[in-house]
Amino acid sequence: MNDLELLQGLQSRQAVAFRYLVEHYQTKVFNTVLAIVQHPEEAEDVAQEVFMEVYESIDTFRGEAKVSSWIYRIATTKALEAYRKKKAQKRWGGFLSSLFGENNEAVYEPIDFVHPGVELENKERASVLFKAINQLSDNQKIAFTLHHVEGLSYQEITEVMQVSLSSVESLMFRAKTNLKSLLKTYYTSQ
Amino acid sequence: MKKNYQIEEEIERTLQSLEGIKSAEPTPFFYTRLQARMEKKKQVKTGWHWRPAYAYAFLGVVILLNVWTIYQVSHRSSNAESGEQFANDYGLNDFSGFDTN
Repeated sequence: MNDLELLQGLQSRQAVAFRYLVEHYQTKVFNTVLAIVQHPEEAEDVAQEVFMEVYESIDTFRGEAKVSSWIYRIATTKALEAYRKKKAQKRWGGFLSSLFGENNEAVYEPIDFVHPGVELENKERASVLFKAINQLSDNQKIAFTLHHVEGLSYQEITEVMQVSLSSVESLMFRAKTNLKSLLKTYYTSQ
Repeated sequence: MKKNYQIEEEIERTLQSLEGIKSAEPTPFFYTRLQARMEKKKQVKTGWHWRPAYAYAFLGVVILLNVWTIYQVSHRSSNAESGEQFANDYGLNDFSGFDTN
């Protein structure tokens, strides 16, 4: 099924087209979301929301971009929203526990995220890297994870983020510089 | 305390730790769970209170209540005005006859 057939099928609310879309994109969406929210159950929840959004807003999609780029865009937006929400809840939880918890210690401690697709010998380092990725700006985080986790080319990232190629190059350069700086601080303190 | 070149090496190795990463897969029956969630959402949205007929009927009742209230208020004030007119016509407002001085 090509993009046009898929789009026509989705716009006429054909169940077979929607099923094809979900089965074709579920891994891409889940993998993209997981790299940002860094929690498997939550990533699955957000991935479902992505497909619900696709289903509900298919009539607004004009076909000026590829279906894949459009889905990646929804996935990154939803993932960032979920990540921000979780961060706010953690902050609020930490604030409450500092008020009411014992010994003024934050009860809510973030769990180290280990991506299931990382090779065994790299798991520990990847966990450190994902923690550093969390501290990047939203756009740097999206560009870096789409390239290094989802394997998208810079050109494909321009279509997802709707920015120029030079902007993506700049985002990747700044992401790497910031990551190096964050990792330096981490390894110096070790 | 690590030396600078050791730290640089750690950083490079960590940055390369995502090389060869495989895609993470959602748990099986993702589509079935998604369908169930969409169906649930649809049912919530199409509950009886969401049906247009109920919404229009409720709106109609609110409008009727408003019209009735406005009518009652204006009717009361016109009754009061006509009562005052009647009193004036028959000199019932003149209480000088009851002067107790």
